[in-house]
Amino acid sequence: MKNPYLPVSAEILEVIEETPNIKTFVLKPKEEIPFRTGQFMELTVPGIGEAPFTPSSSPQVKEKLDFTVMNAGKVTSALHKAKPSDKVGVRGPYGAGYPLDEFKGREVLIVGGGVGLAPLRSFFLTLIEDIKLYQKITFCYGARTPSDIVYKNLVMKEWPKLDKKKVALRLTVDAGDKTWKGKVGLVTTTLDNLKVDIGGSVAVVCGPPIMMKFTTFKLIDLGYKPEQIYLSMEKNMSCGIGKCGHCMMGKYYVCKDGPVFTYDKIKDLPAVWD
Amino acid sequence: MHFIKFKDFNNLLRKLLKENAIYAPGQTGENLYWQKLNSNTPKGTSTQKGTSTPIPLRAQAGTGGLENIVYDQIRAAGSIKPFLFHPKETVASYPTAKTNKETPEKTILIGPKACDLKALEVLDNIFQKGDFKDPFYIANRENTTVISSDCSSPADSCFCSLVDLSPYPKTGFDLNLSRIADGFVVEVGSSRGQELIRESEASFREASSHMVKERDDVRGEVLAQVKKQNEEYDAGKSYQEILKKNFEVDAWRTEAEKCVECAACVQVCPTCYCFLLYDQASGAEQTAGYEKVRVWDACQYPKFSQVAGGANPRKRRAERLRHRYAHKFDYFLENFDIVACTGCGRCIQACPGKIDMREVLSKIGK
Repeated sequence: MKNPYLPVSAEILEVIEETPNIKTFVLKPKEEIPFRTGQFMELTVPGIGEAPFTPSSSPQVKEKLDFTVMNAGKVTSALHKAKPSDKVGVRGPYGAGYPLDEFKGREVLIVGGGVGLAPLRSFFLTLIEDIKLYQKITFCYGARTPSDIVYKNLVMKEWPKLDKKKVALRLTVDAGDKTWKGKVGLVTTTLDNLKVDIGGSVAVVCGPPIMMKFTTFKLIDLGYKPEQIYLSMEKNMSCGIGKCGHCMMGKYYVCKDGPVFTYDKIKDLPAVWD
Repeated sequence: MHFIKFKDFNNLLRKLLKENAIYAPGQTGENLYWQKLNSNTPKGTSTQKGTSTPIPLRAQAGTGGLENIVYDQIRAAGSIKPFLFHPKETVASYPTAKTNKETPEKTILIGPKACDLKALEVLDNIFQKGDFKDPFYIANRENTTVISSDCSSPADSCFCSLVDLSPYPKTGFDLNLSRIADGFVVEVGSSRGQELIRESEASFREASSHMVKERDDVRGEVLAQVKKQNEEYDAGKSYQEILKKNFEVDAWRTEAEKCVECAACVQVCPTCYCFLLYDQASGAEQTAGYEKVRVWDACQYPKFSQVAGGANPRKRRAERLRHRYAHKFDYFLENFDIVACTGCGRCIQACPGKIDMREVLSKIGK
């Protein structure tokens, strides 16, 4: 019987500094770990501990996995000290991921905040690989300051070159600086004057809890139904396999039943945004 | 239905001790504790005779001899959870996985009660079913034979009747023993139990209808006792309904004020299965190995659900207390179609704040 607690060894190929406290680790696992976009994995820092992350790379890329990690706790601070050729462990994939079949033929509104762009990058890359399947993608992203923007090259150079009829990008920062010529304001302000067929679209949101809360409320105001809003819930997912109980939210194990939930499923649960 | 005399059952245990570790309840102080039996008991030592001794429980040194097994009375102070889901164990070694995985010792548990068996059903749902199975629990489960027995003297804290159980097992055992005047009425609950009887066929005979009636009379009396002592708590509606309708009431807060966050309730609970995984270095320095260790954890600890970023969906004691109750009587029922409480009352006995689950649910429902 397969031991679900045993991590697969993975070598760090590259460490990319995204922002002052966010790094992307490009890993090469000893064996391929196929996943669906939106599913997450448990990353083990040997002898230190493990924490859940959703790969930020496309599932089409088989031999490597990207994880974009903010330095926030014990495991992530240890990870931030890691260098290329260091070894970590990977378990997974876990959870349900994004239900791509439900999105086909529709418009997709993506709203990301801060490091919440990590799973959305994987999701967006997956969508644009097969862009004809979707009506149109509107991608809104907000960071605290210009230096807090992750994937600067993609967000500010590569993605703006995509076909504008298919992909609309909206970028904002909470506070600009001397170099910043773009929009300033919370990410919710990118949802003003939205050119999206709301009835025929889905909204996919990922970011810090407070950002998801106010984005969700704004989307409801704009006419989205709760079942059209897909949220990535950040809970304490430890075992990843629906057993240890840490991530329970009402009757759900976020690790097994999520981590992506439509808002209608969770809106009446206690402490959804905490 | 079969019958076996005490003496013959002891001889059967002696035979089984050659190939199995056998655990049974024995008296230490006021409580029954699980004791590992040893085979040093002199042959021919008779076991208890006559009908069961009622509470107060006799004081009896727990030597692990067959003569000290307490078959009936009440569930042991500790649940059988640790036999299957160890309080602490290494669940993974890396980067090199250990291949010499030990097969657990063949184990026989004598004398779990109906509430203990119900707990196994709950744990089975978590560890044996679904997409990810737990190989450690499953190996222990496969190597464990369960010979349960009827309760004869439930404690004041027992409330199995409120969670649709009875003080005698109906399912979930390999064999069940019901004590009568000069032996046990033995019920078979599985093919493994059937096999045990076949291997010692000469020791068993068909139970007479008189014997079965003797068993059923005792069962009826004990069930009536449990029902009577819980009359005042019976709200006439399900705990799930009470929880769903009273999720936000203030009584959660006032009840939780008695909680000292020791999590004794979780530790003694036969069904609480939440755990923590942690990583550490293992083995000699040269091998530079690491391991993942699993220990029991408790949702009543303040930081149980906290994430690295600091968010905590159950910051308050009241929210944690409510979560434990809702998990047992509502969420588990929705997810697995059974209630995750056995009415064993261990949490009531263990709580230093004197929180009584039955009382809490009554107050919440008012």
